[in-house]
Amino acid sequence: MSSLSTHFQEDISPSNGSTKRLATFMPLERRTTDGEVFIPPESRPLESTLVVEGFSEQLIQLRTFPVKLEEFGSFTGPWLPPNVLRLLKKSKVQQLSEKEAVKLMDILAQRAIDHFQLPAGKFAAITFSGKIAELADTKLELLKRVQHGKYSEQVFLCKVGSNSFSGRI
Amino acid sequence: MTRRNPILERGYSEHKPFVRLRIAIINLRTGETINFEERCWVDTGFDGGIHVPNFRRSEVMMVGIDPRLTTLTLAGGVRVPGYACLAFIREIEDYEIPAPGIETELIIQGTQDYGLIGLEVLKNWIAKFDGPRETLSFYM
Repeated sequence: MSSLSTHFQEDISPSNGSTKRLATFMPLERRTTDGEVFIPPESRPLESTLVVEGFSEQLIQLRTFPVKLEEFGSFTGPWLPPNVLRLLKKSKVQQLSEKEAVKLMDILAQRAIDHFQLPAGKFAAITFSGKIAELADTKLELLKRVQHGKYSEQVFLCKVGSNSFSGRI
Repeated sequence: MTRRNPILERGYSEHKPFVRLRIAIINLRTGETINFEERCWVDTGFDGGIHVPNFRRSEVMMVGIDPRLTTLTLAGGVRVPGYACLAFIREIEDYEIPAPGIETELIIQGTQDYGLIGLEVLKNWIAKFDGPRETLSFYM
């Protein structure tokens, strides 16, 4: 009798950044004639293992794999976290404080940089929904591009890998 | 020894190296231009181009340019929001810079009554700060 392992894969839709979890089942172990359980090396538990009793009184091992999202940077949650949504909502009815505005731009820039894996040293114009509107190698190039760019929403400028666009860095 | 062409030499003002700049904002699409003068502190700790006070934003917007929001680090490490756009330096003191001028970033932020010139502008010249004599000289 084979037991089953559950493989979870994160799938992030590029259109809206939403995350869905896909589960697939595959044979994990096989029982030998003398009743011993043989687990192929490639199927042996790696990290967290959940053991469930039940199914036809057989021992079923469900393996939960560590979620691998390296290819998506460190982006693991919903596209805009609640604190960003709260600040964006607040900005519609009242002016944000300087601290809040900086915090909002910081979080959005970091999310976009991680998600799109932008290389350090580039200059980017990012929208307040986290999209990259422009990307340039130099500050002046970016300023020229955004000077007349018509964007559906407001953009802000940032330097990838730096916490400020200009100043005492 | 390489011969240096002097651009300006002037004494400090209030014991600080200030210079007067004429800055142009050009709408590259329509050709509309606005010029203004700014008294700027030569600040080697500022890595940007020019930093001017916030009231200049309305002047910039008069030629159809919308400065973009960004984050800046001020002296002391404080991070604040500000605005940035493209500008051209047309004149430094009495030295007129050949057209179209020195292209640089213009940072608009704060309420101080003077501007700053940063390293991005200073890289165009050789700057000499004479501390004992309190004079500042620029050479080509």
